[in-house]
Amino acid sequence: MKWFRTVSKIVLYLLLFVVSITMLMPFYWMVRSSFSQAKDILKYPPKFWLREPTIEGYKDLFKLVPFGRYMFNSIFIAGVVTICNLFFCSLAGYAFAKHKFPFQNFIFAFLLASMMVPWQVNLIPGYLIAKNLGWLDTYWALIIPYIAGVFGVFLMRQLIRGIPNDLIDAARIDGCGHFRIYRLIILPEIRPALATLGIFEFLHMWNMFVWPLIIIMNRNELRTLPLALAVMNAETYGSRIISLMAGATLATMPIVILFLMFQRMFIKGIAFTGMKE
Amino acid sequence: MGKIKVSEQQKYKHLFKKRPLYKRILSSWLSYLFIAPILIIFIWWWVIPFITSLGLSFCRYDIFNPPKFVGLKNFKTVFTNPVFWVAMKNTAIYTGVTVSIGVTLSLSLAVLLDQKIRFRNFFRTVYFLPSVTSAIAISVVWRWIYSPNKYGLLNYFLSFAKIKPLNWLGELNLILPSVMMMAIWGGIGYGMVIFLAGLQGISNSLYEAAEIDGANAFKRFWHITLPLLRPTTLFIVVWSIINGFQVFEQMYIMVRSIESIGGPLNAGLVVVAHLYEQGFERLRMGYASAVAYVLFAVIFTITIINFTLLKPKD
Amino acid sequence: MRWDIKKLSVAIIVGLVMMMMSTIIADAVELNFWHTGTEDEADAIGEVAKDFTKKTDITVKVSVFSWPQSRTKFLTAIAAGVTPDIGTMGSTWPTFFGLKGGMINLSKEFPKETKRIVDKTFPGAMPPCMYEGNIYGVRYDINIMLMFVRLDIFKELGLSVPGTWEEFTVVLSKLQSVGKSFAMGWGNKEWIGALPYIWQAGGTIYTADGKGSNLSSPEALKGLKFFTDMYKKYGVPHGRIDVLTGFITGEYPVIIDGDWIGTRVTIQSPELAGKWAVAPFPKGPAGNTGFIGGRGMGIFTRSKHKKEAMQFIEYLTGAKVQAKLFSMLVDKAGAVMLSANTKTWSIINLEPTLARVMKKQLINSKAPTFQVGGDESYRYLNFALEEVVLKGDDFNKAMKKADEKTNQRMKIAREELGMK
Repeated sequence: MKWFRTVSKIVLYLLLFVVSITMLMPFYWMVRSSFSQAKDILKYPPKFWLREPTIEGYKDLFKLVPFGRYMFNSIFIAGVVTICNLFFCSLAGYAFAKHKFPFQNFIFAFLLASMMVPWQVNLIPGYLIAKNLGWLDTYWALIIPYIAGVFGVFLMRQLIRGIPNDLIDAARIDGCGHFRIYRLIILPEIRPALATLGIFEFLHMWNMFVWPLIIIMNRNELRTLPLALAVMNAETYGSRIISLMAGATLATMPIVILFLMFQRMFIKGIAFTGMKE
Repeated sequence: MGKIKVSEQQKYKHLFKKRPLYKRILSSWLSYLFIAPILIIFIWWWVIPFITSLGLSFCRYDIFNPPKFVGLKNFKTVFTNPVFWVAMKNTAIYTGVTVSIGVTLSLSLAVLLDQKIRFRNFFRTVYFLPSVTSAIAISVVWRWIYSPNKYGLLNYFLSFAKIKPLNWLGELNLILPSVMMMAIWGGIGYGMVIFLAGLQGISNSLYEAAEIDGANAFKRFWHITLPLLRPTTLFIVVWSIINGFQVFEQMYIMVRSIESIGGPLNAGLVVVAHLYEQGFERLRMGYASAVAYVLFAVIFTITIINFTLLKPKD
Repeated sequence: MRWDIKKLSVAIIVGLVMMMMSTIIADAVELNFWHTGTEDEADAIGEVAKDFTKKTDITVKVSVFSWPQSRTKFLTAIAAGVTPDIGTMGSTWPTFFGLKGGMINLSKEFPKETKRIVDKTFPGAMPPCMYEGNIYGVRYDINIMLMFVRLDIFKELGLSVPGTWEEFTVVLSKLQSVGKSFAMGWGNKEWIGALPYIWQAGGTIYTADGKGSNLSSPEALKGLKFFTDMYKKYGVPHGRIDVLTGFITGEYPVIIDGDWIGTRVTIQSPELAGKWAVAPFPKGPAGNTGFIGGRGMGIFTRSKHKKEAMQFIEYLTGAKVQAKLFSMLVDKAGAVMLSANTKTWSIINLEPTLARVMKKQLINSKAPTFQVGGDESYRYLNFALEEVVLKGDDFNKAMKKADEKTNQRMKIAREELGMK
C-alpha cells in the first residue's frame, strides 16, 4: 500500500504543479513580451527566456500615450472611492446595526433587494443623468455614483452587529455621542473588515470598464487604465504589441503586488462575498 | 436579572410606541444622517435609473428627440429580433459551459488543496491570481496568446503536436470556445477559494466516522462532502451564472471588429454587447432598455430556479 | 475711511485692465477639432495647428476617437447638438451627415475656398465627399491599397510578380502548396477588400442612377467570386491576422494592405531592405483599379466659427502642412498619412521607386461614390462574404440576399430623406 500512497502523492503534486504553470503562463508571457526587443518579438519559434531584456517597450508606451496620467486617474478614482466607501459604509452600517429608527428594516431590505438587479439595467439612465449634469468627461461621473455601495453597508452591518452592546452602552453612560461611539468603539473594532472592504472596492474600481467607456468620450487624458488598454488594443500592430504588453503589465502589477502583500485579507474579503446569501 | 430586563424593555417599548411616528423620525435624525450618504447615492444613481430604465423600455428614444411612448413595441422587437436570439444563444452557451466546467474544476482543486500538503498557500495564491486582475488586461494578453499566426503562443504549443496554426478568434466555431477557455482559466481560483472556505466548515469527525465504517475516499466525497457543500455550491453556481450572463469586457477586446461588435456573423455576440451596441452606438436607448430588462428577468428566473433546485434539504 | 484716492484709482485701473483682458480672451476663437484615428495623428495635428495659431490667433483643440467609436460619437454629438467645429471622419460621412443637416454644404457656403482645395485633390478621391454636385467634405488624407511582394521568397519559390488574375491564381496555389499564403490586411473578407475585384471585373456596387444595388450583375458577381475563392480554394487567412508580421517573417510573401505597411516594414525590419517591393494590382478583365480610403473632413452646422473653421481646413490641406504631417507621423510612429493634395507628393521624402509605384496605383484607384443608404448597407455584403467564406454557404444565394437587402435598405434611406 505504501507505494500506492507515494505514487498518488507524486501524481497529486504533479497535477497541482501543472495547473500552477497554466495559471502563471499568461502572466509570464505578458511580462516577457513587455521586455522583448522589437526584433525578437515576432520571431519564430518564440523564445521563452529573454537573453537581452530591454525596457524600450515601456519607454515607447510613455511616448505613445500619457500612460502616467492614466495610472494617476486609476489610482485617484479608486483611491477616492475607496476612502469614501469606508467612511460612508461604516457609518451607515453602524446605524443599521446598532440604532433603532422608523423604517429601518424596510430601508435595509430595499437596499439589499437592489443587489438582485444587474447593473446593465441602470447603464443607460445613468449615462443620461451624467449627461444632464454635464458630467460627461469629468471625474465626477466616475466617482460620485460609487462613493457609497450597498454591498459595503451590508458587510459593515453584519460585522458591527457582532460588537457587544455592553461596550456601546457603557460608552453612552459615559456621555459619548453617536459620533464618538463610532469613532472610539466601532472603528477600532472593525479595522480588519475595513481593510477587506477597502481592498474589495479598490479592486472593483481599478478594474471597472464599461462605465468609463461610456463616460469618457472626448477628454482622452481622463481615461482609466482598462479603457486606455482597450483603445490601445484596437491600434496595435506588429511589434507595438510590446508596448501593449508593457501597458497590461503596469495595469496588472500594482494589484498583483497588493494581493501578494495582503493575501489573507483579499481571500477573506472574497470568501465573505460567499456568505452574503 | 434577565427577566427583569426583558420586562423593562417591553415597558419601554410600549412607551416608545405611543409616540407618534413623526416624533420618532425627528428624534432619530442622527441615524438618518448616518445613512443619508448611501441613501442619496442609492436613490440618485440606482432607484431613479431603475425606474427611468423601465419607463424608457416603453419608449422610443434617441437622445435627440424627446422620448415617445410606444407601448410594448420594444419588447416585441426584442423577441422577434434574430440578432437578439443569437446573442442570447451565445450567452447561454458561454454561461452553461463556463459554469459547469468552471465549478467542477474549482471543486476538484479545492478538494485537492484541502489536504495536508506542502506549498498549499503557494498553490492557492497562484490559482487565485487571475481573479484579481482586470478582465481587460487579461483579455489583451490572451488575445496575444491566441494570435492566429504561427508565433502565437498557443499555436506554437500546438505545433509540438503537429497541429497547424489555428485562427482562434477568427474561425466561427472557435471564437466562443476560445473566450470560454480564458474565462474558465480566470474564474476557477475564485470558486476554489469559496469552496475551500466551505470545506473547512466540515468537521473532521464526520470523515473519521465514515472511514471507520469503511467508506472509501470517493464515497466519503459523495456522501459527506457534496451534501454538506450544498449551500456553497449554490452560491457559486448562482454567482457564476449571474456573471456569465453579464459577460462583456472579454468580448469587447477579443471579438469585436470595426464592422461588428459580435465578430464575424455575430459568432461572439453576447447580450450585454448587443445592449451596448444598440444603446450607445445605434442610439436606440428604448430598445436597449428593454434588452436590459429582459436580461434582468432571465437572470432573476435562473436564480430562483437554482434556489429551489439546490436548496439545502431540511 | 482708510481708502485714499491713490489706492482706489489703482484698484479701478487693475479692474479695468482685467476686464479688458477678459474680453480679449473671450474674443479669441477656439476651434474644436474632432479627429478619427490615432493619438499620434491628433498630436501631429495639434503641432501644426500651433503655427496656424501664431498666424491667426485662432487656437485649435484636437480630440481623438478610434475608428470603432467614431461614427457613434459624431451621431451622438449631432443628435445632442454638441458638435465640434470640424471633424475628420470616414470619407462618406460628411455627405451622410450633410444630407441629414448636421454638416454644411461646403460648395454652397464657401464656394471659393472649396474649389481651391478640390482643384488640388486627386480626382479619384473626391466622389465620397459629394452628392449630386454638392460638396460636403474635403479630404483630410487618403490611403491606398497596395500589393507588397517579398522578392527574395518569390525568387526562392521560382515565382514572378503576378500581373493578371490568372497569374495571381498560380501564385496562390503555389504558395498554398508550400505552406505559405497570400494575405489581406485592410479589407480582409470585407466589402472594402472585395470592392477592387468588383471594379476589376468591370462591375459596380450601385446601379448607374445610384438608387439601388448592382451586386447581382454578372460582372460584380465575377469579382466577388474571385475574391471569395481566394479564401475558400487557396486557404487565404481571414480574421484579425497580423499581416505586417506575417510579411516580415515570410509567412505571407505577398500581401495586399494599406500604403502604411511599406513604412512600417522599413522601420520594424530595416534588414529586409531590397528584399521586398510594391507592385501594382494584378489586372482583372477590366483593369487593375485599386481602392482609395482615408478620411474626409467638414464643418458642422452648429459651429459658431464656420469661417475660421474653413480657414483652418484650407491651411490643413495645404501641401506644406500635409508634408509636415507626413514626416512627423513617419518619424514618430511609422504611421503614414498620404496626402490627397497632388502638390504634396513632390515635396515629401518618399523612396522614389515606392513613390512611383504608389502614384501609378493611385491614379488607377478610386474611392467609392456616396449613395444614400450605401454606408448602412455595406454590412449586408460583409455578411454575405462571411457566410460564404466562414460558413461555406452557397455563393449565389448569399449574394442574392445581400443584393435584396441592400436594395431594401437604400430605399428606406431615400424615403427617410424624402427622396424618391
